[in-house]
Amino acid sequence: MNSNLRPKLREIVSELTRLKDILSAAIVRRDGLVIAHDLPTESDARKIAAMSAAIVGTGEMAAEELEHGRFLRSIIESDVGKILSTGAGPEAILVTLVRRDGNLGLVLMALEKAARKAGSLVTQGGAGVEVS
Amino acid sequence: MEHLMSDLQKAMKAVRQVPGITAVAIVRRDGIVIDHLLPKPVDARLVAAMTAAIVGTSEMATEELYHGKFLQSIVESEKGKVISVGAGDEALVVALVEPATNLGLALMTIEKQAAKVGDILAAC
Repeated sequence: MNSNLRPKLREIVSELTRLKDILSAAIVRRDGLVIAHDLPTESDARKIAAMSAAIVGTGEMAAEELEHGRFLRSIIESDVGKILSTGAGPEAILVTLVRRDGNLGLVLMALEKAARKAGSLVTQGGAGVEVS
Repeated sequence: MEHLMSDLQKAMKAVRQVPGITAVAIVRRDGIVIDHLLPKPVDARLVAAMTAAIVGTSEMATEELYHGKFLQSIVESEKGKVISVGAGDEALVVALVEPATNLGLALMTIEKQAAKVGDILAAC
């Protein structure tokens, strides 16, 4: 177990939220448990983790049923903003809340880079032990 | 009624004119097909059911996260995207899109036609 894993993952999350278009970010397990987050409260993080696991689960089902290959990402737009859920390796999901008028192109670029980094860290470190 | 269906067809054809959009359907929020322009091998009922599932989960997420009303959802996968946009209170417009499509153009067109579909369905 890499003892630096937690601060490293936390750093990925903070780096994302430094972009002004990204309101908050979290790295969660595909089963809906939190790994690392940048949200005001633990209960907010747990809710986002649960919701993004539901979103990704449904997205995976749809991609499979429609023979669209492997699920990559889901973008949900609402009145207030966007919820972006991207796969981060086989075990984790990177989820971000984005401003309604945010620059999606820029956000997606940052997100893909962060997801790759988080994915390889989680795979190396064993995410299961890191759940808070 | 026939007038209605031809108006819906017109809206779907406008969407499918965008290069890279391979299929379009108008479905009810409960997963029942209203009309579609899908290529033969694609099962319209399956598309409608999957869209309702995606939108149902998305609506739950936006509500739980206090994100206001659900507007649209994009599911990206290796072989393309599934774009689901609300069309009035009762319906959704769903489009299947190839991976390398101009997403900005696709979204602009789908949103415009979805608003039209919403109006057409509200008037009947």
